Amino acid sequence: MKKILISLVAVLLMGGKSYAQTQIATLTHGETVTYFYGDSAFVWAHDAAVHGDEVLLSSGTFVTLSITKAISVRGAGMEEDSLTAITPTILRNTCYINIPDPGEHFLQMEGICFQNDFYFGLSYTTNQPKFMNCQFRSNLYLLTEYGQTVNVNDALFIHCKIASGLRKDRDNNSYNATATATFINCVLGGITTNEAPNVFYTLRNCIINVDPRYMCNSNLSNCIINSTVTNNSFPESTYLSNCVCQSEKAFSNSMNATNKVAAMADLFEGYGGTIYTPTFNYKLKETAATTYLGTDGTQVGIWGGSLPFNAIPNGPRVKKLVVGNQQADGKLKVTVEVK
Amino acid sequence: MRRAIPMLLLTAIVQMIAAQTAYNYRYWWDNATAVQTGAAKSATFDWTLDAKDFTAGLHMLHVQVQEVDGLWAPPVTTVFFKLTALTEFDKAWYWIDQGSSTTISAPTDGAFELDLSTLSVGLHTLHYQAVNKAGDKSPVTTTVFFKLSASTELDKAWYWIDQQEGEAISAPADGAFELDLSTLSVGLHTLHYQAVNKAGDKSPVMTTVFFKLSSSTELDKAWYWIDQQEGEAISAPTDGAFELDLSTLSVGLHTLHYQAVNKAGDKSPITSTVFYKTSSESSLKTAYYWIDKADTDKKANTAGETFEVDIAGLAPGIHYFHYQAENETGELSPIATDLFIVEHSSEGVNVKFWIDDDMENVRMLQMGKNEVVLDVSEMEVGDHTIFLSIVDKTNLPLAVYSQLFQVYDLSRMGDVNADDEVDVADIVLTVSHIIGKNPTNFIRLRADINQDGNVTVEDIVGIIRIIGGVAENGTAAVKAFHVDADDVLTASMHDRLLSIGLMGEQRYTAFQLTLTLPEGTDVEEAAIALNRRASHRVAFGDAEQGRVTIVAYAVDGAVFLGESGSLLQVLTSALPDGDITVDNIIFVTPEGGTRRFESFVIESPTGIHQASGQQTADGPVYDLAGRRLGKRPQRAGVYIQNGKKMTVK
Repeated sequence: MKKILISLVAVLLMGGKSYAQTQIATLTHGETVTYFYGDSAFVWAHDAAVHGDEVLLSSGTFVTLSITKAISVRGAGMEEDSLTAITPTILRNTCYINIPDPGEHFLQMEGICFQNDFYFGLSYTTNQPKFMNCQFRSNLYLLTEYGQTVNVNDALFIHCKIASGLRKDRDNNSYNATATATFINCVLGGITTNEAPNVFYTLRNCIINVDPRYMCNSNLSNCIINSTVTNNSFPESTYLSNCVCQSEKAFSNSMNATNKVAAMADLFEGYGGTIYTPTFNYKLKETAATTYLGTDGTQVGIWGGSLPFNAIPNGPRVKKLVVGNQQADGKLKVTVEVK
Repeated sequence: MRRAIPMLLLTAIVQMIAAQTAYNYRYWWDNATAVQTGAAKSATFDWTLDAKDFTAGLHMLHVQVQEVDGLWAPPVTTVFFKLTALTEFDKAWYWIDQGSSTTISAPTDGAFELDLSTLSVGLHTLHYQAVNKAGDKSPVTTTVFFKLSASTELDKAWYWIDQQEGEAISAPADGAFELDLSTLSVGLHTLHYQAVNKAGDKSPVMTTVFFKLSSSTELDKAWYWIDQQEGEAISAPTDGAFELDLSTLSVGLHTLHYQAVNKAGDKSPITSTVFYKTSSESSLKTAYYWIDKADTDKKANTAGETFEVDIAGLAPGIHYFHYQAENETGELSPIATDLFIVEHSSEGVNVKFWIDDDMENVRMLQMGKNEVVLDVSEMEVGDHTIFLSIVDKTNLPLAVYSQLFQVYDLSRMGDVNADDEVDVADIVLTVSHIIGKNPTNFIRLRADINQDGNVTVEDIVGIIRIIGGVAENGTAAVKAFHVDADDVLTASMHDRLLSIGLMGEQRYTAFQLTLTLPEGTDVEEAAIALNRRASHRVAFGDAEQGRVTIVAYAVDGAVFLGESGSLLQVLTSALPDGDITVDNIIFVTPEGGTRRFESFVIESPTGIHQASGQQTADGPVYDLAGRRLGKRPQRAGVYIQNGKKMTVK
């Protein structure tokens, strides 16, 4: 017998009868579902969760605090999309990941926009966190600054947009940190890894805005690279294959002949001159899509590879929810379209 | 014993300062017997020496110090040089090597010629000393120079190899000569070379190293060896290629070493290269795959073949696929890994919904229908939220959604600002809403007097009727009816002035219309035509995506008569660079009746269109102000007939 547990916590905390706030979070623990309402719904759901639970978030902006549970968090989407009628789920505060003793569970986040900085924890190693269809509008710190040493093992990012980060370090304080991360069909703007010897990144079918000399210890394949400094090169510790960059100098330490040189304006349809633009679709021009091919024979960039870019969250979703006009007879028509 | 001297060591100073001891001193110079004395209160002291009677030159000062009541320290001596007051240069002399000196008068610029005619070719030393008019001599300065022979023409040269005796060769014109190496052994040698000019001057010896190759460079044989094996000879291939027998090698990394020998027996340097021995593809037998970390649950397939993977039991989300091939000898390939995503299944999903926190009344949306009607008549007036959750076949949520809505007290129709009064403030607020101003505190449902789902000028008239007491809530009194478009509207555009004309006998009390203007054009002013102005008010909004809605209404029931021609004049901000579309045209009668007209297009700047359905042959003629003329115009100008320009010349 399945049980549905209705939580009154949020209602009591809200105190009133007005429902101007429409945010909702559900917490699924086994067969038990608990509901939380309001802009703090995620905080309450997280507080009530244990490792392995699932939290669903509606569209809207939520308060965020530290995430200390290895849970699965799924939102409505990472960005506004009028075509698919997706309104994003936004976590508005700086997000800190500090997960002690997760056991065999991992943090997974999908369909969420992080409005502020995102830090992997300052106290605990984060193992195998996974992010899909997430947008990081500010900095994503796989390492950290201010001298704390942080370790992240096997972080995975699929179909994500990251404004800047990977590492921002003051005074090279992250030198002893350890981080391994894989980016699949992602857009990364303004990234740096500096010279931390124990930081390894793998990027496949990504679009990257970077000063090449800071991209150390990395393996890049099928990527489009906008070099912010055209007279710098990727260090010898970075291996590139089937990548395209507008600066030939970037490849001067890479003996791999599969890398090619092309201007960004010659690659992208409707390129506006700024490589990191969250609303840009990064579609290649027809000739570019057949000229610049990755290791698997498909086009380089986010629309190629085995997992072409897709910003639509996984699974069934409500494409249309319209509450009609109140009629004189006190009736209200609600239209729902599930896709 | 403590000691103090005028030029003191630091340690001595410290000791003496600590002791606060007084000192006597005495001094004399050169070999004088007269001694001067003095006293000092500390170990560091100075005094002035009167040297006016000293002769110019070197002198010695001797100083001796005594600690009061103590012994005299040994004297210390320093040397000083008293210069003459006169430094004017008088003369100088020089001499070469050990020769006698030659006096020269003081040159003005210090330069003088040196006579080297009697000197031999070779290295020599020049010494020089100057004297001022007081007789003071400068220190002697010495420099070395080399006297070249007068002739630099090359005469001959000789060379020798290694430690052989030198062999003379005649001086070649271009310095090139042939070297006879026939008797030299193969290997490294040293060549020495020296040239002599006709004066007999010899150049420095130049030395270079060279390697004598054997006379034969024809490849004779070669051998190779792998890793630490012994070398195996192979016959020299003509193209340098040869087959490598790796049959006994294990799979993995190896090093190949290679060395060639020519027929003279000369050996090439050893070249080494690294290679990886892989298993033969033809021997691939089995492929294993597994998902995520379940490597203990490997599944097998024939290697190299396409196969399907059953993912039915996998949870939605990201998964890892691992693949490894094995050959017939049991060797395993490296593991290949890629990612794949399992979608949430849409099979068996349902949608349930509830209002606010009322989880006691969760309802399921009937599948196949995408509409549900809620009864909100018993709900409190105010904001509410409808929540939806897509649930899977086990009733667990897959996604959650919400939508805000409002419940109103519809018994107060017209009270759009909820101040419990229906008055002109509600009209202003409703007009503001129609023209796109998005007013706050506006209850839209209360403004939709005729409850057709839209708030238009019809509803303004409805509110006016409520205010005027014609109806209690406007709903019953206002009945919208639609009429076909007929010849009641004209429109003309002259320069920036758009004129909308009204024809026919119908009376109206309010109207609205929306202009879609070309890019870069806005409405600067809108007014009722001068001859129609009564108590009517006109309002228009800002252009939003080129669309501007204009509303005109009278609060006292004043009417527009159809026969009066021009009705509305609109001044645009610029000459429209394109057509203007007029739509959303609604005219309201004093009784609450409504006429909606079809949209029409005004060609810019003087293109004319009329509401459709009114074009008849020999139709009435209008001037550009929209006035209907009684007969065909005789005056030259532009007129409108049947919606088209008509020019009279």
